[in-house]
Amino acid sequence: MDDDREREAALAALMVAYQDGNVMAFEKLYGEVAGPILGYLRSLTRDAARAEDLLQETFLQVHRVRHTYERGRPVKPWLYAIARNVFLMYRRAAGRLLRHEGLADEDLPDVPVPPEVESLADRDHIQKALAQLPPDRREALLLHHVMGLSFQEVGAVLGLTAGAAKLRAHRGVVELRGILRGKAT
Amino acid sequence: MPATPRPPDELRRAVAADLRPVRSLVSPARRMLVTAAWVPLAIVLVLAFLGLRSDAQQLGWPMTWGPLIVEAALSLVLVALALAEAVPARSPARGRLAGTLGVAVLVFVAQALLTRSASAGVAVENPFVTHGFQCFALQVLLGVPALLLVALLVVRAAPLRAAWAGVLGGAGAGLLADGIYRLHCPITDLRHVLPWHGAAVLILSLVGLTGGAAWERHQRRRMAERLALRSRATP
Repeated sequence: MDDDREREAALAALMVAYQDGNVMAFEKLYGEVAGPILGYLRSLTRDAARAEDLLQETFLQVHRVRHTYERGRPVKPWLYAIARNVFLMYRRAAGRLLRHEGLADEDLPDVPVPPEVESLADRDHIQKALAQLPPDRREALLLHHVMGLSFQEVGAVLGLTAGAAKLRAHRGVVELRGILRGKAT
Repeated sequence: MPATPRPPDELRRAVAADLRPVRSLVSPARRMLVTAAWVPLAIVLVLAFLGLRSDAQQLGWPMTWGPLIVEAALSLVLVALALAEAVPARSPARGRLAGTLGVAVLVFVAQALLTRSASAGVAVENPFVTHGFQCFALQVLLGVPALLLVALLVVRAAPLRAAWAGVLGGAGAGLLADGIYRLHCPITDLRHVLPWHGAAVLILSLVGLTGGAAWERHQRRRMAERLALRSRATP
């Protein structure tokens, strides 16, 4: 818990330095958060190459709207909200071409796996099971259980109350367990 | 140990090209005060050029100024929500937004009914038609500066769901204009108030919604162009 708080404080310090015009702070911030945000974008797009594009687009947006980060507030939800919006804009812009319902399992990129269910099956099975979850539940589950955001922060990213975010993530975990148990039997 | 990711060259160039220090936005509630500054000015304009409603004495102070205070307070809440909507990770829950818009509709109708019960107002021959368009146009005119202020504040931030921010800002500006214009309009007949004054609130909300949606489309198009350009540049 203290580690999380220290990490968040370090990110906030980098963000403030970046707002003050420090390019090194931007590069360090990128180094700290690009990996998790890429994982999040992969889970949304289910297309590794597209996720890389959207990661770059996310940071271009971050740069453009860096003044909207309010000092003293957590950085991660702010970043994830921008990444999510970039994905939503991309999805709307591309329209039907982008629908990934028909994506083959072997096309799935390396999506992060929640530790809560890691003991139930191997990584590959979990990723395939994750892909079967409804997108809203998968998103809440990943943001909380994998990206480490609190339910309050997940709610802020998704435009929900903390309670609604918790419910979505919980239902996601229950459904994921059900899928994995079904596969095991 | 995995290497720390480094920003791609294109991103580094974009960042290096514009590294001026930026000032962090103040909270939505404080930025909302910019719109609040329009309220006293608009009241003075209405009273100076149009005059206080002729049934003000019959209504008394609470029923003349009370609806304005309630509508202005609620409209500023709507504006604050629109401004919060324009900051990443500050978006209020959708239920809260829809609930506040619902309350705005109820307040609009309730104060029309209360005013009607307190004063018969000025009787006109055909309340649905007489002075209808005039009230509508003047009320919209009063709302436009407030809407422009909100739009400016929203665009200066980073509206992720700009259509929501637009409809909230438009409804806030519309409700504010309604409260202020009622200081002048002495017609309390619901066949005049609900369609014409209501239409002014509605039209400003729709302008906000349409403007927000257009902004979203513009942002999407720009992003699609950048992505297309990047994919063409990638061998």
